Amino acid sequence: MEKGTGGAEEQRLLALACKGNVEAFGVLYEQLSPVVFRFMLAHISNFHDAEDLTADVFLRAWKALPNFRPQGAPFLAYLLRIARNILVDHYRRSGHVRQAGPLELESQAAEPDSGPAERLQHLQDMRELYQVLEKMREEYRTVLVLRFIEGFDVNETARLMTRSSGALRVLTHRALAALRGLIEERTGTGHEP
Amino acid sequence: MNPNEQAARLDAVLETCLHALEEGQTVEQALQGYPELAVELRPRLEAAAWVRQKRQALAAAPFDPALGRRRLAENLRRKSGSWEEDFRRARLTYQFTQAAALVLLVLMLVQFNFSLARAAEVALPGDLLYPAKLAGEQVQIDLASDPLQKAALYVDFARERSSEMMDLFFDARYERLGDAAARLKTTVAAAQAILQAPGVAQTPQAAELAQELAGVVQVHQSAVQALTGSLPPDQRAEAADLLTP
Repeated sequence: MEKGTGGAEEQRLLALACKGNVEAFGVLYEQLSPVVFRFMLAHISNFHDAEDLTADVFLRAWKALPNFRPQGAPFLAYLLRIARNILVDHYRRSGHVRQAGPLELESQAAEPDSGPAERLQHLQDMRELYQVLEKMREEYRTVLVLRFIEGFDVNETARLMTRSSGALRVLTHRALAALRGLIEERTGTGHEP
Repeated sequence: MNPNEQAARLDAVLETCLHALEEGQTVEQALQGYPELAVELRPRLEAAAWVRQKRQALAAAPFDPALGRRRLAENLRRKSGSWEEDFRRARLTYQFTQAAALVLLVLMLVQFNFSLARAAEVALPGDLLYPAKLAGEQVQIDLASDPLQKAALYVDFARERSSEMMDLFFDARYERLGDAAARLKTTVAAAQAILQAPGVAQTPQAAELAQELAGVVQVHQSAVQALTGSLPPDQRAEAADLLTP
């Protein structure tokens, strides 16, 4: 898992970045951008848009840094808040959540180091994931991505979503119940294959 | 166990099982210790396992942070010259906004104090702003560097105290007259003390001020005598005190 839950090193880099240190911000970008990218990807199912929007998140964060007052919260929480705002703008511009077509997904999922069978499996997995996630409420999608795709624990996810651990636990359970319903609806079996 | 306790236990066990899944256990292994909750927990754990199973696909998505960092830098450079320049501009904007907010706050405070001072000027004993009026006068006395200047201020304030007493008469706020008279006496005494001090008493300005003060006292006594008739009968006996600053 990438860094991003507000450790001492991250706070140090953030303090430097707040003073205009480009190198420190660059290091934060390299550490946190994969999480932001996957968060975007789970929401918009388009690699190129996810890349562009990830860059927008950091661009907007950089511009806001002179006003940013680190208060010990993870910087990733701040980035994810920006990401959510950017996603809202993106949805508004595009009118709806766009789902990538098979060819688009195939070209996007072309990881250079994987074999054809593995690529096909990833392609299938991504398609299934998008089909389900795109039907979920935004906060359910976010909690599922952070907890089960990024692997943050309850307390880390609570800090990232600026909620109490108790509230986050309840949100997780509701999101899982909703997810289960959508999986059953998609498979039409009542049980995941 | 009441419903709330049941829900709390279900939440806690689900979290334990999710942790077990994260550690690599299967759904059935995670549920082994909780057969009584298996029916409720299994669907949620299967959903969590389903997402975990798909995460490899997202993790394998080709994203190069180093390349992204270079692109972002280029993007910033293209849009605004450089990262540093962009940051400097944002910082200047922030500092300007802060300074503007500070100036606005100071102006509002000045305006507020000015309005307060104006309102305090007409306050009478017993009014909310009357202490502010007295405090303002004390500041003027403290700031006066020369004894004659202080004496002139005391004469002005004695006139003001007398005027306040007349207003109290007209407003029938008789209960405040005693305190007001005491304040007038103190003010007159302070003016007299300065005007009779060695080195001051001989100056022509001191003589002028002493005459002015005597005039204030005389007018005050005439006015109080004329108004004593308006006092309630039980307070007329104390009217003599109001006359003698």
